[in-house]
Amino acid sequence: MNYYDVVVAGGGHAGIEAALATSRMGLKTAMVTLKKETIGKMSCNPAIGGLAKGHLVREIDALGGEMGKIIDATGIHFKILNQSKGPAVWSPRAQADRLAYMHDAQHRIFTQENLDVIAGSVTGVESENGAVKAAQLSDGRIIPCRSIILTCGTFLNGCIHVGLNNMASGRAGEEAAKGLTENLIDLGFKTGRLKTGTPPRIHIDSIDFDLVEAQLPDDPPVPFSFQSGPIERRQMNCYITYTNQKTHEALLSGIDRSPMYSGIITGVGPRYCPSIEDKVVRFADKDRHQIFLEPEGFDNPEVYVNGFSTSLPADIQEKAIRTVDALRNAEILRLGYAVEYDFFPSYQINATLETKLVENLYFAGQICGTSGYEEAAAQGLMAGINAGLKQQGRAPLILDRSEAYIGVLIDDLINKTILEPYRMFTSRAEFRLLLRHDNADLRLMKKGFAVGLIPEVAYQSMLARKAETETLNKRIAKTVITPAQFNPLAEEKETSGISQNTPLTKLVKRPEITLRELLNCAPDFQDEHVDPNTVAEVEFTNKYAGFLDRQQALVDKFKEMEKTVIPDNLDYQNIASMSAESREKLTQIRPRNLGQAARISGVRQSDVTILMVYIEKGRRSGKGDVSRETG
Amino acid sequence: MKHLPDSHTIVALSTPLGSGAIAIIRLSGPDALDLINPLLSKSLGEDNIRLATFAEICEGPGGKTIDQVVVTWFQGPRSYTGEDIVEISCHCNTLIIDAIISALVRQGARIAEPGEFTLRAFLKGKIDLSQAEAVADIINARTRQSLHQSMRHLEGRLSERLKEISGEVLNYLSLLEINLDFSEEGIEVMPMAELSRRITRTAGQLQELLNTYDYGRYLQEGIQMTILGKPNVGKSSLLNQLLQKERAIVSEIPGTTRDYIEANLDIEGLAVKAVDTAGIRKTEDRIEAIGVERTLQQLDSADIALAVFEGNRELDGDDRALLQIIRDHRELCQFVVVLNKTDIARNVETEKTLQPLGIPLVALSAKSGEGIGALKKCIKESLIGEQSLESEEIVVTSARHKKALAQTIEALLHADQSLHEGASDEILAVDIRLAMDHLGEITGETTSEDVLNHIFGNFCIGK
Ligand SMILES: Nc1nc2c(ncn2[C@@H]2O[C@H](COP(=O)(O)OP(=O)(O)OP(=O)(O)O)[C@@H](O)[C@H]2O)c(=O)[nH]1
Ligand SMILES: [Mg+2]
Repeated sequence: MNYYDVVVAGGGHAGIEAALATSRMGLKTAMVTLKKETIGKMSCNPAIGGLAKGHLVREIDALGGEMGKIIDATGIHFKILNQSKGPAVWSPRAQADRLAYMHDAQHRIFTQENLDVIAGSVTGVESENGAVKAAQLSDGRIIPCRSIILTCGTFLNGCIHVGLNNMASGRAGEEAAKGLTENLIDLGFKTGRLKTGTPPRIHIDSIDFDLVEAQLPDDPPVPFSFQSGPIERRQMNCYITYTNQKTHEALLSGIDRSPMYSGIITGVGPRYCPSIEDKVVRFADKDRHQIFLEPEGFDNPEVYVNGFSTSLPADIQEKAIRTVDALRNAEILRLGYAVEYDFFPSYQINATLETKLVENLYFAGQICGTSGYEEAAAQGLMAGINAGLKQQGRAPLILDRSEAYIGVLIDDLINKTILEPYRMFTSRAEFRLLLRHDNADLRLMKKGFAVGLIPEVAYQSMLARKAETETLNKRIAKTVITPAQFNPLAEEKETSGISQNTPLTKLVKRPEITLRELLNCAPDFQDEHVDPNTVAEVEFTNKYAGFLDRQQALVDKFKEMEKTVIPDNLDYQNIASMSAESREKLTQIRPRNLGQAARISGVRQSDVTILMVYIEKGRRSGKGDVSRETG
Repeated sequence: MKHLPDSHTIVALSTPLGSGAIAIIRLSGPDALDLINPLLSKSLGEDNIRLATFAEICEGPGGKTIDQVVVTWFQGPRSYTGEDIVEISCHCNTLIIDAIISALVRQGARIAEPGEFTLRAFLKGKIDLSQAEAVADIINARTRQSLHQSMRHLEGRLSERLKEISGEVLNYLSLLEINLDFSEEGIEVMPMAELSRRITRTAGQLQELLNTYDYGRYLQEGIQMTILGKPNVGKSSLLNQLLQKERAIVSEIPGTTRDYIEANLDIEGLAVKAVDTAGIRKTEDRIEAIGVERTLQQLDSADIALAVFEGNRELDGDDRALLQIIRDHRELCQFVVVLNKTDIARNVETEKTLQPLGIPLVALSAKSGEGIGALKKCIKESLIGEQSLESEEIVVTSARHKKALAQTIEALLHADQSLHEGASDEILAVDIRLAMDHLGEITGETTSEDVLNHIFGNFCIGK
């Protein structure tokens, strides 16, 4: 077959980002996927974003990825979550019109220059001298190539369970990918097994909408992409209802036929996404559980019963769901199921997502042990970018924990022992206050532009926004407000007035007062229109200045630790004074620098210090004995 | 978060406690000189490199004097660590050592990690390459040693108690995080008033532990008590009475005790080494003058001093000299004023003069023993407050733990303050996480993974 610079195996959310990134970077790319018609399919929840995940989507977008644009084009229910909290933890989320999303994604793939889609299944990686040489397909075809990005989702030896029945499948109704796991094991990779689940879909007309609570989308909807205009698509509501004791009894009556409880499933499932039967068993004292009814589009009768993930047999699923008042007539269109699949524990990849064992082979998405579209897309994008940069002979793009959630994600993957499908949470980001969804462009777009995935206009508009922010910052730093200007506002807001002229930057620290209100008090600004995003940015940095400074101090300390590079050839087994556990972990992960070494779970603090001694030893013996030179 | 040794200026006691009359504190790092000079009555500079220099050291720039010390500046790279080092030789008294180290920490120094001086010496090329393994061993050994120490009964119990407390902090941190990461799950949130109550309760519990620090140190090192007073006030009689033994010679001739006399006492369960001293007065007698000199030296290393006056008489010039000594030393040493000989009479004027000092005062008779019980109680309370002395009591004995506890409390109180100012959850979480980090220095690190584990283990999360 024809030669390709890059072969991307898989057409899910990781595969889409990877393939678009490499082809746009000018590399001849082939996406190999079982069926062209299922590219971009949302196999689980019909939504993009959510807490912490919304941050990931904004970052993907700022780097030049596609996910934000696709959802902006096809979303039917946009909402910024956590708005009662501070702006750092606001997070955008949107329900997608599932079919529209898929078609939109496919359109982008099919019309992309440099990108061919090949129907097939990659079952082998051919390597030569430790580097990728070609991709082998199940039908015997061979695609010679320089890099391979594996984004196989849950398809590797996928096995779907409904009750005690199971079958080889990667997603309801689709065949599993066989052979690739075995090929990778032959190449020396270690594998593990994970599990995830999905709830039943029911017909929209079988819901009694008088008995559910409606959740309204934000008006106007806020787009994900920094490059999107206003959202025009018609919006829909979502609905909430609850299980009850009868539901729980019905579920428990089938527990003996649960593949989980009967021990058929051995893969580890995510604890943050338990099945409904799990919730009922583990939290027996809870008398009800929340259910979100999420429509999948205007022309689509399917409704996703979020919160009701189950792998119980069909009769139990039906019986249980019909105990919910609003769902007493529910017609199940598709059953819930659990799926088990192979993954490759992520200590086997580097920060570029390239595998340690085979050069130019990259893993991205669920194959690394993550869950979620957004996590997958983020990895796909980074794998694509890094495969591209490497072929272009440029330095890799590695984001650190203080720059992006994507940095946190990949850093966790390579340093932590992943025991269950990994999902992003804001609490994983120690510099959470600095990583807002709405400053993702200020944090990352420059990098996306440098890679070549951000168009000039978008980049310029980000720079303009940045400049405007800086100007406003400087101006308000000089602004002083008089009691006469401020006290009427104070009275209205029931906060204490001032008796002498006070700097605006001081007043903005009061939680009950917004910057816009203060600007309205100051004659200099009163009638001036300033972009609300700019005001928000400046407000945040001033209101939380003390906390931001503290986080910044921690970031500086963290960066300092990242500076000491660990030589590639360091032999940890020779360091006798180091604990055996630390030695083993360090040998397995081979951290790039001391900071990373310190983050590896199981490595002791004192052993990090000892490591420092050995780095110095190596440095000095390479350069001669410094102690004698300086006396 | 694990920390790496950095290039920050570090400070630590470099001689073992209780190993001599002089203790040496070492300060190493680029800012050593800048940090210490504002505290010294005489600045160190180019003129006194490697020269032992007498100076007074004070608590802060322009603050109270802590001690008279000998300081020596070793300019880097010609020093043990290869950095600027200042060595401070002070009196070997834990209060003084603590006060000096605290003053330097306030100036910006950081307390050194185990083996850190040696590590720096190695990194700066001061220790031969062939010794790298030995350096690593030292770091390893010191850590093991401190591990071993923490297994000891007292500290073991401390860390057990702290684990309980950190469990509670983890509890409410998790509730905050649920509010942030799982706010759609409909899990009942904690009212802010309750969070505030829980934070302040934790801070209070930690403060109680912190309050045991002095007691813990006394348990480890014993208490030094000095009996002061002009001649013939009954100091020796008082020692004998406390000891229930005729240890010191008592006579009606002033100046009977010429050198100091030591005796080990048990006061309300505390091990006290009491020192009877020569009376303080202006004197022509050379031997007695030396005795007075030594009496004042004794005071430097004392944890508590009994200032004895004759309660049956008016104060005279010598008594007033003692009053001045009390005023000069009261920051570094606890005092108890003893009004002796009250079996004879009670002089109202004397009492009126001594009362306003704000120092606990006990009237007694060293001869009959009346009031001795009250004195013992008073001594114990001045030293360790209301603590009970059961052997099961949890105490803080190490300066490092003390510092970690103080920082934990500070972070918690800061969180509580932000809470009252209306800060939202992610802001509160910053300080509560910081508190967990500081607690973790004693009990072991709590990672974000632990927080998530706690959440998944205890709350019904997940759609
Ligand atoms: N009445 C009465 N006499 C006392 C009391 N305490 C001490 N004395 C007498 O006071 C005299 C001095 O007592 P010491 O105990 O030798 O006094 P000191 O303070 O040790 O004196 P120097 O060692 O000379 O400094 C002795 O004659 C004691 O008997 C007391 O409480 N009541
Ligand atoms: Mg005497």
